[in-house]
Parts: sequence; structure tokens; C-alpha cells
Amino acid sequence: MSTQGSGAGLGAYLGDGQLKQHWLTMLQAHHLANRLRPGVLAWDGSTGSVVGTLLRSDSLAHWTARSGMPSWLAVLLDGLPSSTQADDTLPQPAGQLLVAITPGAQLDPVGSRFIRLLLCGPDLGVAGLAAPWPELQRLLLDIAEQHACSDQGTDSASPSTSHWADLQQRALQITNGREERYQTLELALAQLAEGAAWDPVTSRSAVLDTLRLWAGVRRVQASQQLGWTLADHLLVQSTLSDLHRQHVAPAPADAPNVFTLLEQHHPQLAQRMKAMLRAEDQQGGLDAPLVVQALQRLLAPAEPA
Amino acid sequence: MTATVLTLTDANFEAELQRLTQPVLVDFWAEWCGPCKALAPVLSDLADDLSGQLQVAKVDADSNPALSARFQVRGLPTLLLLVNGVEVERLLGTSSKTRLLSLVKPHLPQAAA
Repeated sequence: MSTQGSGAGLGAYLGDGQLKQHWLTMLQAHHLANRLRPGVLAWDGSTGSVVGTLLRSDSLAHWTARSGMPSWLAVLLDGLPSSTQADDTLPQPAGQLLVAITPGAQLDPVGSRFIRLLLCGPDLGVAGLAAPWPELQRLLLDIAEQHACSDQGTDSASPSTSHWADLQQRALQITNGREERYQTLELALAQLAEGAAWDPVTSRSAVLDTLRLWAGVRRVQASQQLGWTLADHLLVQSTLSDLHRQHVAPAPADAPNVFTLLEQHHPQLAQRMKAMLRAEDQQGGLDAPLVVQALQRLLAPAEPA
Repeated sequence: MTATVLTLTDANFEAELQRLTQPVLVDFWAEWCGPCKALAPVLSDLADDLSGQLQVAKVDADSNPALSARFQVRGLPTLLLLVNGVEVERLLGTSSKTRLLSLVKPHLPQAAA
């Protein structure tokens, strides 16, 4: 279902630099007054999400008409993890992105451009990691190609729907039946394909969900680079189960949690697990500014659709 | 433009389920649950795409312990697909829109979503 509204033709901020400045001033006021609540679109009359406070509404239907910007961007602005520091005058990264946007810019194609960057861009692209699984790599590249078609308007509306559906089916054929309790790189990449096989213009959650799944690929990649394997995962699972059965189940009220017990009884395994989790977190910390910079570059130019 | 995601509670669950004729995808979530927040926009998007064929509903697991106990919710987010009030599918954790669509599609009134 299209989420286009009457304001879309005028471009971002309805082509009005004063509206942009007004919104940034309003956002700063909400931020400094601690009226912003992270999370999905929300507005309760005094507090809310970034987009909710700008609209003074929890209706996404108002976004395109009042902002001239696509729905996927509203979902992204509210859904990106906060990186706000104590001295920031705007909530970040939403503030950085709103500042970057040029009034009048046609932003519909930017969603597909960003997904293509996550799939096969020079710095962020992860499709190359799928080289050991040619069918999966072909799928990721085909999805990127379909996003290129959407971006360039070379795919008319009706065939596009079936093309996207074909790509979704191919992703499901790969992920169906895979072991989901342990996130292998292959499974993470296949799940990324599931999330990315949608047109952001008609599927507003596609960009944010693709970014979430892409971050999952990067986390798995980081843990595997550290040498963490399925065997490690299974060993932790079985050890935690044993500790629970031996020490927690008999006296749940008095027992420490199983992770404390893991440190006490199996310090080397606990240390390895912590190192793996730390590597995953560090990867997320390294990726966040790269993602924001990529989005800023895509949002800034006022390119026509 | 945006389909309503219904809020179900211990108090209104039975009445709402009797009123609804289409399958209901119930999302058990909690305010503190990060993965629940990641899933929310995807569910809202799906609700729009399948408006009239599927009702998406949310249950705050912390505020509605009776429903959480009744459906044996052991982790969040938990998604249940109810058809005529009977659980036919269950999914634990976040999922892509593609995965969710494949889960509900066979149970829709007209399997042509």
C-alpha cells in the first residue's frame, strides 16, 4: 500500500526552508525539555517519539502530507538507536539526519539507494560475505539490482510487485528449515535478504528492518572473526542448562543467576563468551557512525526522483 | 492509510476475539523489550498491507499476566496467530516482514495477500 500523501510532490519540508528551521527549533525544544521518548511513533499530548513530537500526532498518515518526506524515513527516524550525548542540542542521530536533508529534495528513492549500499556498497556492503553460498549471493545481488530498478523508475508498478514477491520467496527457500537457535553467517545473510526484498516506497518498514538485519550480519561476522563457532555456542548452552539444573532449580530464590555461576565454575568459557559479546558490541559501535554518514550523504543532495 | 493495531488486555480479550471474524496476529511485548520495539514497525506495516484480511493486536505482557499465563508466553516478543480463537502458529523473537507474511498467508480468508 502506498503511503504517499499530498505533500510528497513538493519534496522534503514541502520545499520550505523555514519549515525545516521551525521543525529543528521545535525538536531542540522538545529535546532540552526532556519530552522525547525513544521508540516507535508516539505522541501523548506532551511527550513522544521524534516524529510524534514534530507532528504532535501518532498518526503516520500525517507525516508525508506535513513533511513531504516518505514514510520509511519517519519509521527510520524513530527507530534508529539513540546516540545522543550529554551536550547535544538535538536528539541523535535523528537530528543529524533532519539537518542533512535539503528542502525540496525528493527522498523516495533514497530508501532503495541506502539498502543497496548495505547490500553491495563499497564500505558497508555485505553481499561479498555470501561468496561461499553462491545461490544466496546471487539473491542478494538480485535484490540490490531490483532496488536499482526501483530507484531509476525502470520497473513499472505491477511487474515490480511480482518481482519483489519472487525475491521474497527465494529468500524463504534459503531460510526455511535452517537452525534458528544459532545465528550462522549464512542464516544472518539469508535473513537480511528476507528483510531487504521490499520496495521502501510501498513498504515503510523495509529500510529500518534491513538495517537491523544488516547489523546482525556484522555482529555474526565479528564473533566469527574472533573464532566463535557453533561448538562454542552449544557448549555455552549446555553448560548454562547444567548450572541451572544443579544450582538454581533446587533453590531459585537464593541462587545467583546462571551467568554469575558460569564465571565461578567455568571462568575460561565465561571469558570467551564475554569477549565474543564485546566484539559484537564493538562492531555495532564502529558501524553506527558509518551508517549515519552514509545516510547523511544520501539525504543531503536535492536530487530529483 | 494506517490500519489499527488493536490493544488487547486481560479484560477485553474475550469480547474482542468474539467480535473479530478474521485471523488475529497477537504480539506479546513489553516496554523494556528492545526486540519488541524493533518488531513493532514491521507489524504495523504488515497490518496495513493485510488490512481487512488480518487483525494485528498487541498485548503488554507485564500488564496482562492472565493472558501471558493462558498462552504460556515464555519470552518476548512472542507472536501468536489465532484463527477462530485457536492458536495455529507461534513465533518467538523478531522476524522479517517476509517471514511474517509467509506465516499468516496460508491462514488468510483469501490466500492472495
